[in-house]
Amino acid sequence: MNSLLLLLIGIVVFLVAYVLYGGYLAKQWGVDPKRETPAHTKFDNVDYCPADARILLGHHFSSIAGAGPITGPILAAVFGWVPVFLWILFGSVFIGGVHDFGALLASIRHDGKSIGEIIRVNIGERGKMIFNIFAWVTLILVVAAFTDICAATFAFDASKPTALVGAQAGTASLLFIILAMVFGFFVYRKNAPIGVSTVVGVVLLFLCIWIGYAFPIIKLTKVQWDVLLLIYISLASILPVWVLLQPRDYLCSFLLYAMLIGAVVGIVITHPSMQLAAYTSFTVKGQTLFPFLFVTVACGAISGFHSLVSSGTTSKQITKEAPDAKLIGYGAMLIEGLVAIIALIAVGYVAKSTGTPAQVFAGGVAVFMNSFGLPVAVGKVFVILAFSAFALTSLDTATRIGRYIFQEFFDNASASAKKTFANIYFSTFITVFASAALLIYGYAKIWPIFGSANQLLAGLALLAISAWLAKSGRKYINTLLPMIFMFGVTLTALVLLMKQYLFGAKPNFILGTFAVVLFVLAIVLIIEAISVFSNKPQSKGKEMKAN
Amino acid sequence: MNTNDYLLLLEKMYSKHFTIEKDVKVLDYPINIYARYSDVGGRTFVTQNDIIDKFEVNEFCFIKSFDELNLNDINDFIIFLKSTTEKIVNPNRDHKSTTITGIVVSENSASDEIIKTISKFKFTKAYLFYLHGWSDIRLILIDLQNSSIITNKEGAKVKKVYQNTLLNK
Repeated sequence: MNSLLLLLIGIVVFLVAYVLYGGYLAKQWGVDPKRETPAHTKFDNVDYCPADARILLGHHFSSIAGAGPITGPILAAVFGWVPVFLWILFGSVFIGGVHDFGALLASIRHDGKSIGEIIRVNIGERGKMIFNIFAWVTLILVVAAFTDICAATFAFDASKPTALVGAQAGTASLLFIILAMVFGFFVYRKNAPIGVSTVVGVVLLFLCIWIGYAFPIIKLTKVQWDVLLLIYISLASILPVWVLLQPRDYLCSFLLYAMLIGAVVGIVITHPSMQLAAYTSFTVKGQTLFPFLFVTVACGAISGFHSLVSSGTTSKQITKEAPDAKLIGYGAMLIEGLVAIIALIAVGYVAKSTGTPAQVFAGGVAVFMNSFGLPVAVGKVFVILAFSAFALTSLDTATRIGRYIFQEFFDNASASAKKTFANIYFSTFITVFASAALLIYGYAKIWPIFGSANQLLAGLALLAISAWLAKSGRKYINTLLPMIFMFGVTLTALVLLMKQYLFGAKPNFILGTFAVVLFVLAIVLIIEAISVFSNKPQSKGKEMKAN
Repeated sequence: MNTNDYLLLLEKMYSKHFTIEKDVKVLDYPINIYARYSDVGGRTFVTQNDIIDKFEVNEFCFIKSFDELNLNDINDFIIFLKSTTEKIVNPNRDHKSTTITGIVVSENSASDEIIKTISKFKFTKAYLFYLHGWSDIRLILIDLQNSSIITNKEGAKVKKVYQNTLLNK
């Protein structure tokens, strides 16, 4: 199968879906171009401020894009590329896009409050606590999975001294972090002009890649990288954002776009054939296609965190409901689906390649980019750097949110307990420590549990959107069916994981306990949410204006 | 344009985004207009109250008019502005930067010595090795007699704003 055809099918399907299904949803949900958005009705020039739709699309996409859409399809490719491809197409169009678009519109109609906020305000204090525990456990899994993937990618194996790609990418990554801090210092502190600084920063960014490639001096083992990365995310969680995160995220966006453009152009020129089997088996390594395919692809088709992290910001800046909400809510998810297809093509091309998802992805994309003259070895370092930049963004955001949630557990505690347990250093330490304890199991085992938890969040968001649509007299079948599917998939996956880890031939009680905790919390949360959204009238104090 | 007219124009300009106090004493130093602006940015998770990271950027403007401007007045004003970076600015882990803008309004021409002092003035203060942010001081002299503006290097960034106000644009 020619992969160019897959890419073209993906682009055509997404474009058609954007116009037809996106337009249909907009009509069903009563998207109104003349209706004033919160950016106008609550304008304060700080949070509520109308922004150009194209700029907002870029901002929203960089907020939701992490390493998930690359890692997920590569791990799921063990079932063959056809089921993964179909799920990316189907999931992005009918579930992930609907989820993101619905969450954004619901947020716009609730004065810019995020869908997570709508859930939390409506489910009460007990629901909030359950939600917090659920989110914290999920975040620990995220931190453990991405730390392990990065460490394994950067690790140098002394028994294979010629295999230097990890050391090269690791060296480039460390240089990139230093560059970002220097860039931030000059832009924020020395008031260097942003245009000139950006050009210089991007040039130096590519210089970091070349130096890493030519002088791979950071040769650390996986365990050493694990420790270094845990120290890094602890610091990233504690340091002021302008010192490291803001300049790094800014420079990262150029890596993201360069990699996307390079990969698409490379696939068009190379149009490689898929070497991976179209379909392998329903059961692979003890895991069945249903439900594990749907939780493993994760963010490549739908992600619950999209609605929690980004919709609250984006909805406050939307200028017009139409066409902006569809472009940003639905369009950004389809672009993420395209990233997932590129990842699938990369793994499909280098079918026999081994290594971490980052290495597999880099191996494929570097060959594609070689078609326009970029040496494969340099391309690999570039792609791994881009991947790790995504992963580090996911990591530090997850650590910060995890730290915040842990602090919130002690909101009602005594002053001394609060001082001890809710301070920023202790809560960061506990969050990172809990993640570190999971590293021993490796990302491959952690990923299905993380995927299940993430998709469960999406199911909850779809429940809230369905309830809002139903209460406002609109059709909600387009959100109800995906919600039922996501709850079915994720709860089944957790039951199977519990069975595997607690009663299987090789029991793993730690991961099994995680699955049990997530399952129980999810069930309680779903019952809470259904009873609030469907049966009980909202109390006046909690009522939120929505229409 | 006389001092009162210009102060009224400044007040009108600031009122769009700043909180204004008129004829107040700040740190025992009399000020014609004290204008404050604070912007907080960052990211939230789930609800607006769940702030996972934030940073605040402030600008404090101190407008002082002088009848007969002399170098001592300028030096005293500079000492006052420097003291605000310690006593008014509140450095903390969310504080990114504060700009102190000191504006001297005079109906008389400034001497070369004063112009030199203002032009060469530079002050910046880092809090806890920048981890708690920093402060910069902009120093601006509005010469109403010649309709000219003299600034230090930091103040040059906003010279056009005050120039437009002076020309009542």
